[in-house]
Amino acid sequence: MAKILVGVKFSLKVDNLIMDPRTLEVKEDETPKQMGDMDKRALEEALRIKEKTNGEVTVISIGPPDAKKILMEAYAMGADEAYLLPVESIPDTHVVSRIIAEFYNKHGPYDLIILGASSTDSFTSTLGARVAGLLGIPILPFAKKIEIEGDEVTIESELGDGTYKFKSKMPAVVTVTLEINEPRIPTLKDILKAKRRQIFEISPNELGVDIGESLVKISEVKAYEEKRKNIIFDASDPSKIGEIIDKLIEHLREEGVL
Amino acid sequence: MSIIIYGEKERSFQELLSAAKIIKEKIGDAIYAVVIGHNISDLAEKVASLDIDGVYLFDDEQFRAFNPEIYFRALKMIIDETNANIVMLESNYKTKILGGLLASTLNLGLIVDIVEISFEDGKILTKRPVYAGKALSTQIIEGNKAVMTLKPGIFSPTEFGGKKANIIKKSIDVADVKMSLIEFTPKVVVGEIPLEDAEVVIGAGRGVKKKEDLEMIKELAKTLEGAWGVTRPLAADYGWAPEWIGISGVSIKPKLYIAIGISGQPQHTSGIRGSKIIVAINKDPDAPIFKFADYGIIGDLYQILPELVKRLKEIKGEK
Ligand SMILES: Cc1cc2nc3c(=O)[nH]c(=O)nc-3n(C[C@H](O)[C@H](O)[C@H](O)COP(=O)(O)OP(=O)(O)OC[C@H]3O[C@@H](n4cnc5c(N)ncnc54)[C@H](O)[C@@H]3O)c2cc1C
Ligand SMILES: Nc1ncnc2c1ncn2[C@@H]1O[C@H](COP(=O)(O)O)[C@@H](O)[C@H]1O
Repeated sequence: MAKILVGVKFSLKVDNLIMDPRTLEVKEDETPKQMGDMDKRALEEALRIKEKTNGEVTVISIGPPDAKKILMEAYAMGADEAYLLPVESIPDTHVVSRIIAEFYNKHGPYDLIILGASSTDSFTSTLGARVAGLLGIPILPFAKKIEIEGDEVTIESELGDGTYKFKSKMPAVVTVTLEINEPRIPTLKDILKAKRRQIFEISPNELGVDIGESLVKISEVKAYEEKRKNIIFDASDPSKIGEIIDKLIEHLREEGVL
Repeated sequence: MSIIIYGEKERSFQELLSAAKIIKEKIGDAIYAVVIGHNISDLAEKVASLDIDGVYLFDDEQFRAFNPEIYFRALKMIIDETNANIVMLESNYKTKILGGLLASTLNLGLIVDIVEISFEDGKILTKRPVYAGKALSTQIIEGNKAVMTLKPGIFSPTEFGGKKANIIKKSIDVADVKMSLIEFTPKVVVGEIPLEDAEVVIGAGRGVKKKEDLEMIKELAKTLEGAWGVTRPLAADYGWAPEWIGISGVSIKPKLYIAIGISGQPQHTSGIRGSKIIVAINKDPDAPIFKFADYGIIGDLYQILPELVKRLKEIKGEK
């Protein structure tokens, strides 16, 4: 009977960033948001473990009131309990990890905490390790496969130089990558049913976390200006290909890259 | 105030040291390197010949392959001993985990994937890419206490030479470690140039329809004496290659990158930003990759590639 805690972030859709065209300042408030790509897989994996072990899945999100949207989605997918820890804007990973750890202490213990390996927008890939560090439990990172047996969890992950297989006793924190599974798509019926479910709220304050305590201050976020030459040749008419390739080669020679 | 640097390769230490010196100049008094692994005294010797104040060496079977808990303990021991306030790591999967563990247990700030370091009003100011590499975030470290991971290939490497630093051998007890590494299969790359170091990279995307068609890509790479790589779906979904280029894969910085049949999603383009010249070949005139390219050809890769390879071979033959 595995009890699992999953963290999902109300993340910016990075493909639809809204920015001020003049200053290139990113307008986070106006940018559409969704459940993170890896977070959704964390939830899916938790649900699969729950189904196998007759377990229980609690989902939390530290985010603005709008983040209820992704908690509804979590209910529709099959979560047992969903909590919003309301904040005006999402604080840095230091504060978020403190909140998750305190939630674990007050509402847990859980056998597993499953998070995405990286959030879609800030992509720090550090939250799992931070939570594990605070709780003094193992971190099994970047899992592309999870197996549970008795009170032990085993994962497989790629860490750049090869494939690793790690094992530890639970409780533990596991973070998952995109490869791990294909998340389920809830049916319309599940979605409608989820609308009647209650989303619980606990303020970070109640957990004893001061959201102003972060050690790193973000002073600005600016979109990159793409400074490429954008010299484009149209070879959709195949008879032009030869001539265009010659031109391209000439350019590349001038650039000194051929 | 001392600064700790930790990487896996000679080159990592060379780059980390350049960055550490920016901080030492303003607020630091010593820079120490930590070397961890098995049979790696050569690396420690090499690092000791950088202009550095000392090298701590953990050389033991237990460090043969990465285990977050064990590596974390080793680093923490040195941070405690040297009273370090700044810990600089080469950015990769492993150090993100080590960084997270160190920052939370030592109550340090944490910034990953740093590409720029400077000072403002006596505080360390860093920049890092966010939003799948579409934007740059400026972050200020309060109290100048932090773990920082630095993107490889950004800070220019410090040269070897100069006085030799002391190498101090260290060990830790791992009897009570909770987590075990039960298997490690190293990645085998045979006879091909690693993507990270290649001067020319040819990238293939889903415009390449069959695995056999990758031969055209490899042929082009061979002609230009470069490496070839793919987008995530080709590696992770189809299994045509062991790794991919982009935010969740490898970052490249060649002189020339040719993106073939690649749409140019931000998760891919964030990994190619360091390329000097980018060429795109795509049949869709509206493909976002063209905004990211210096030169582009709109057209069918199956018609363009054979011709391009033929012409390039002629030219190479001319020389
Ligand atoms: C969290 C996360 C992390 C990710 N990390 C990465 C990453 O690190 N790297 C990465 O690459 N992706 C990554 N992705 C996936 C990324 O979002 C895109 O899905 C992926 O890059 C698209 O690959 P593609 O360009 O090959 O395919 P597509 O987007 O399908 O593009 C194929 C292109 O080929 C063109 N084409 C088709 N036929 C032809 C032809 N005959 N001739 C010429 N052109 C043709 C089409 O016009 C199209 O533009 C990530 C996604 C997520 C959510
Ligand atoms: N505000 C948040 N609320 C809940 N979970 C979060 C939040 N931010 C990040 N996470 C989780 O932590 C993972 C890694 O985030 P990061 O370390 O920022 O890349 C995400 O994939 C989520 O599962």
